[in-house]
Amino acid sequence: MKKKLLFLQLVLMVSLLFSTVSYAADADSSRDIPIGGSGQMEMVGNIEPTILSVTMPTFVPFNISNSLSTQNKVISPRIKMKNNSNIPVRIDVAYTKVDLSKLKNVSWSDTGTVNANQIAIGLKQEEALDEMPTSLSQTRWLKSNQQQDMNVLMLGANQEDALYVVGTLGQNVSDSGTFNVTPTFVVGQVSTAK
Amino acid sequence: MSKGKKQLLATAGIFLLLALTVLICYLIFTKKDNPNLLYDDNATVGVLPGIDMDERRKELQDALDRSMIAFSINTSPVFLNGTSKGNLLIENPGNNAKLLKVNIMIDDTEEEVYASNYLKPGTYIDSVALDKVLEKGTYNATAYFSAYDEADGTYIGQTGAKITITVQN
Repeated sequence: MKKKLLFLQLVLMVSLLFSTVSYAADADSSRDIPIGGSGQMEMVGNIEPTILSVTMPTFVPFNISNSLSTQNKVISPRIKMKNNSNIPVRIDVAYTKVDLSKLKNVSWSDTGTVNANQIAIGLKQEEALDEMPTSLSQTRWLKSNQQQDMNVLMLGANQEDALYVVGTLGQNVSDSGTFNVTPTFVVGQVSTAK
Repeated sequence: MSKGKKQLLATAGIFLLLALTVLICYLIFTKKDNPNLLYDDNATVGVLPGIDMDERRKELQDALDRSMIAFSINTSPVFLNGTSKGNLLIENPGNNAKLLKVNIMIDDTEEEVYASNYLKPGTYIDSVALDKVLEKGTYNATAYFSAYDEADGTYIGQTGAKITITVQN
């Protein structure tokens, strides 16, 4: 009887010892850190790229006429700009291509001040929703055929805003002529852009 | 005031109003053009077409809305070396309804280092090698997105995005 009991005790001890070892092996293989124990845990960090995502126009049509009674002589659409990204962005005009070749004796003004034979065109941020500006104050004037990098709008994350084309022209500039002004909008991250 | 006087006053008031209405109508409807002036038979009553500012503005707005594009790009793509692929992550979203082409120019040198072919709406470029081999360094660049009509490929317009290219080795 004693021998039987001793044998059973031995079997129990061996089985307990084995289960402890197998548990330790299992804990090690899955890299879990047992409570009260110690171990190494690998932490892997991935840098997510910053994605710039925007909706903006590639072409801005407008009309200008001396017959308008306001200081601003331009009929402009609402130029919507939307930042679809989670970072603030700035909208600049990098360059403006101006072609006045179809207008005789007409030149461009970079400053907004025009003589009888000049045209000046600029951009202005929307002040009242869906209302064209009547005045020319706070206008960012476009420079003709030269690199400008002029900021025209700042947009927070997921924010939308709008611009209008504004401008003026001298009394001798014909209302019947056509001319082309093509600004190139460039969007950039606020912290890294110029 | 007695009831009779009130009725009399009310009746007088109504007659007075009627008389005034008749007089005003007479003045409005019997107004004749000055017979000494010769009016042009070719003139049409109304506002000259095209001069209505709201109508003109609506036409301009339609043209501008047609030119709107959405796009996405990685602001800081990284290339392991000058010939390896980098994560440009350029997207032409499905709601654009325009073809896009992308050209990347280095700001300082105005050198074109990448030009894509047309991207259909609802497609993107994950990683790609640049067309020019760049030395190790960081480059400020501008990615120009040119939009084209999806049906006939007509050029619509262009816009851009500032990015910083890093070449690690």
